Amino acid sequence: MITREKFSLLLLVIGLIMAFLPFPRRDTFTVKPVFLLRESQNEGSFFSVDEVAGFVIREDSAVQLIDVRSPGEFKNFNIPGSVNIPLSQIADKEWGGYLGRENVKNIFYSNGDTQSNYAWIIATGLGYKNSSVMMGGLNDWFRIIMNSKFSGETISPKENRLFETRTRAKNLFISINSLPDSLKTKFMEAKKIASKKLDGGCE
Amino acid sequence: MKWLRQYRAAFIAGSLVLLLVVIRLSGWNHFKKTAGDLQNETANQANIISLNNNQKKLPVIDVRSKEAYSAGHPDGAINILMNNLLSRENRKFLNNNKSGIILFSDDYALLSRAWSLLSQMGYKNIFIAGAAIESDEVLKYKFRPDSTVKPE
Repeated sequence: MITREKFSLLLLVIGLIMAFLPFPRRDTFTVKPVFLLRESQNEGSFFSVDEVAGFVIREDSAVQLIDVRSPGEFKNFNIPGSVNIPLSQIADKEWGGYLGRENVKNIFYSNGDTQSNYAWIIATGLGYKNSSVMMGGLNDWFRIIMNSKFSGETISPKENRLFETRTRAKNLFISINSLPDSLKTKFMEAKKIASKKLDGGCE
Repeated sequence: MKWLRQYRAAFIAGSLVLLLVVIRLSGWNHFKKTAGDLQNETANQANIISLNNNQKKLPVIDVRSKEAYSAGHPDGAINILMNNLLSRENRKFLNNNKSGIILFSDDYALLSRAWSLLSQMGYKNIFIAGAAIESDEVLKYKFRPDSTVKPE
């Protein structure tokens, strides 16, 4: 049998196998279920609103807040420093540059605890590491940070630190979200451009 | 086996490729659904059910801790810890209840994760229930902008 015949037969066999191979669809989870279950219960994938308030006032560059609500809700108000990736777009490849950054913790948040965790499981299931959620969502943010008041006569140093963090986060939240829409958009775009530059133009 | 000898090279190459395919298929593709399916199935809270409206009498699985379960749980609910969600017995249980099951908890974060995991693996008719889960994503506060803020 001449080499050419052997070669074409080989190609035919490979071709047939390829044709019947059930290739996974683009956005099927890639990690193992047992891994995902273990990660789901990992305490490290949850941050309290107080921890997030701390990141916000320190402008911590190792943390990226991601608002998974709709663009309309995001435009109305959002936690300073966050970007908007609606839940319906989390699996889109174009966000890979954002979600897949090394040494950056992505913290998802929504109004409550369901949507942010759907976003978390999609990101983690697709293999993006460093994903976590803000526990209690914006409802807890408003209840704990925005409505923080001190009542009583004495305050311990620890209480004082917590209260100061909350107050500063609250004032930042109010001042940025009270800017006129045009300025707010400009502020957000400036932030986006800045993070793209940091990223090394990952487009 | 003259035929086999004649086509030996092709035969060996073919079986090699087949072997590679088998290796790749095992330990891969545990998930039957896509992220897009998850987005669709949760869009209108279609995955949420009220325990008062459990007309099909689907079994209820309480995924909270043993202590929380013993302190009080929905009528007829059985307790399966999150940790054991993918145990052999529980997978069997899921396979035996094709008409569906309801996961119950007051921790909506873990509940959403547990639901997504099972649903992505291809288990059908998995629902979630919790006392106030329907309104979990409703914002209970209103933001009032401060009109005195001046851009710097």
